[in-house]
Amino acid sequence: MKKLLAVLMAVCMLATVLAGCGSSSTAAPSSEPAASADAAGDKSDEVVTLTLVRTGTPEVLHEIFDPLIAEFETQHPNIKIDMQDLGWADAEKTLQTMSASRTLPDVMYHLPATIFSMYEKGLILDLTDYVDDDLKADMYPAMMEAGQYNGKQLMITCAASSLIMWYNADLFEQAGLDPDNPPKTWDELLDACEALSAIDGISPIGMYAAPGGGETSFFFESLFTTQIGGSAWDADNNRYLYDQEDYKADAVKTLQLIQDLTAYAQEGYVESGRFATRTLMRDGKVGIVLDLPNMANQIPDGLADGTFRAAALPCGDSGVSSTAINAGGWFIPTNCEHPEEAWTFLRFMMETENQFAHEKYGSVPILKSEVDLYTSDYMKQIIKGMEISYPEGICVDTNALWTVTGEQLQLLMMGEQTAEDTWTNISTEHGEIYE
Amino acid sequence: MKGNKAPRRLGQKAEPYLYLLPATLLFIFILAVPFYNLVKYSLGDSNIIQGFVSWNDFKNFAYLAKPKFLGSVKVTVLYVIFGVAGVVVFGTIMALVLDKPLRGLGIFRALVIIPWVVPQAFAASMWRWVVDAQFGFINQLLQALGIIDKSIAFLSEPTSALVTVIIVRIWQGTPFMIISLLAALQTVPEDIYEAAALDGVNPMQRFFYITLPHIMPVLLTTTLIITAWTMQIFDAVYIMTGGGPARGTQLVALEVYTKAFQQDDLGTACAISLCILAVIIVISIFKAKLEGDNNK
Repeated sequence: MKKLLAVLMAVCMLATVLAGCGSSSTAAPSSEPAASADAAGDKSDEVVTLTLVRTGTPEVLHEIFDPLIAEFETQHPNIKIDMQDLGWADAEKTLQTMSASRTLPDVMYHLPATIFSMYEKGLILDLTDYVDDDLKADMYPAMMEAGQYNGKQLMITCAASSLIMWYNADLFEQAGLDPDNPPKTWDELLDACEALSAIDGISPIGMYAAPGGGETSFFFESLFTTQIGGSAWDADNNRYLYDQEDYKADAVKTLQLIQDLTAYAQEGYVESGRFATRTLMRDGKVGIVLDLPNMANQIPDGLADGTFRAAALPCGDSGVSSTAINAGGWFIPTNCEHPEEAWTFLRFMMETENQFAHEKYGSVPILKSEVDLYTSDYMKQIIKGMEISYPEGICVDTNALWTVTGEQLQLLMMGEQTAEDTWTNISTEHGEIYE
Repeated sequence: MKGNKAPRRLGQKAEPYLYLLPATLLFIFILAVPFYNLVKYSLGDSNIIQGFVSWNDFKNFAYLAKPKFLGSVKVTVLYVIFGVAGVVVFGTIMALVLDKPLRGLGIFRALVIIPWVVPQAFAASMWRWVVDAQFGFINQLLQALGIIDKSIAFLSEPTSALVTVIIVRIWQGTPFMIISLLAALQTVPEDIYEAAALDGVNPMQRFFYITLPHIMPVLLTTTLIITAWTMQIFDAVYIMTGGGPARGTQLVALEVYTKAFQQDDLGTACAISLCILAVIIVISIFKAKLEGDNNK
């Protein structure tokens, strides 16, 4: 009897192990959105619950989204929104896990490099046919293009950043510079740094050379657009123009500027990320920082009293103060069983007032119809540049390309290699990735 | 009667295997299946979402011969050698100091293990702030004391960054060595020390001829364990330097992370992981052999 009991227990343990190792998935998610949409249409009285994930800081996002979701549910009583939280720190790994198990939410916000890569794996719905003419006409061209990959609209941009010049007007005055006439060209920028270097206890410019997150790649790409007066990205071939021999001189000149600027940078800029320079600007420790609009969140009082100001990015040979646009946006995964309802919600979010509310989380305007809603001086500066901005070059290999660019730019900024060598290394290593 | 004996004998023979079955299955699922996947993914183009995609002619292993990866190996070797050596030296010294019947030593013994129990990510963030060039505690202290005029950028230069992360590794790893050696020191017979004292041996002779031979088995085993752990360190260095500057702290473990999660290249990440696994297996064999010798 004891032996029988022991054998039974062994079998039970085996069953437990097998159950633990088995798949936990239930029904297979639909990969045919059209069929699902029809099904959803047939059951129009049925209440559909959509899961929504907006990557970011949950407590801030809920403040913005809860009223919008309540309004949407009032307008569409048959659609409920279940907003789930996902912080940036866990985002990439969580997305990979959700993708592998096909449990992505019905509507989600994320970054284009990841979205395009997921599309290649059959996980993202092509939204080209969903986008209406009104939305197309209202979105800035760069914002629309930022969500396109190989001619398909995979993402609807709803948050974006551009690079602008932030400066401390008090320090400009102390250095004998005119705060009402900030540097407009690269030469003037270097001259301003030289003048600011006369002030004790500050650094003329706040720089960041830490390679992670594509910060320095974006910095380089934005300056390069002002040098050539156009996009740094060849969308037809999914390659950076600056990797090509034809653009070598422009790329090297841009890299040389970056290296020259480091002579005026703060101590420890090699280990600094973009965020650190915002603190320095807030504390009056640097005269100039080339940064995103998010700087405004760190210096609201100084912006209000005019101590801190913003201006367009100083330009290179093209004479055009353009910038690259770093974007994020909405997408609908193919495992969404209610794509029509998901699009209805997404379109609601892209209405002028709602998009404006969403941008409080930190973004430049995405829609032309929002422009009048912005009144601050720094945002007016940003809006001026929106029509002449270009989406950041994004493809499925973006993270690999950024890793190379970030490492090489750090070496350049440390003075370990020349601008020419940096270009050679970047274009060679990028070439291997393109292959 | 004869007919009943045969099935009983078969049952008796099968019985031990049935008992072993759950453990065997557990072993297969938690070790053999991941190992099979590791090998499989390393042989082709693979990514986290799709797994193995296609065969790629050992391209993943070709990366192991590239200067970039060899640079990471060099950094890792330096990190492991100096990190482990530091842990051994400081751990031994601290253990000897704490092995004295002094007042308040119990509290100090408890305090000394704090670096070991603090989560690596938290400790790394703390150290990142402590050594920061602009806002760091060390720079502010040195400037307040008038020792330096300009901030020291500990993490802005490859060599100083590597030295800094090695110091942090020593800080984190030393408590484990102290705890292990304190236990070993309890086993040294007191009468040998007393006899040595009568013979007039000095403290150095006492350590090298009495203490060290007695604690050597534990010291060696602990050193091997710490070596294996140090080879796998990821979070502390990733948070402090991200592998920079100029790949100066790019450990092999960071290389695996970068490949798998940032560059979507699971195949190369698995190829690198196989190499790490091979080294750790060698260390484990040494450890097992040492333990076998000790038991004899």
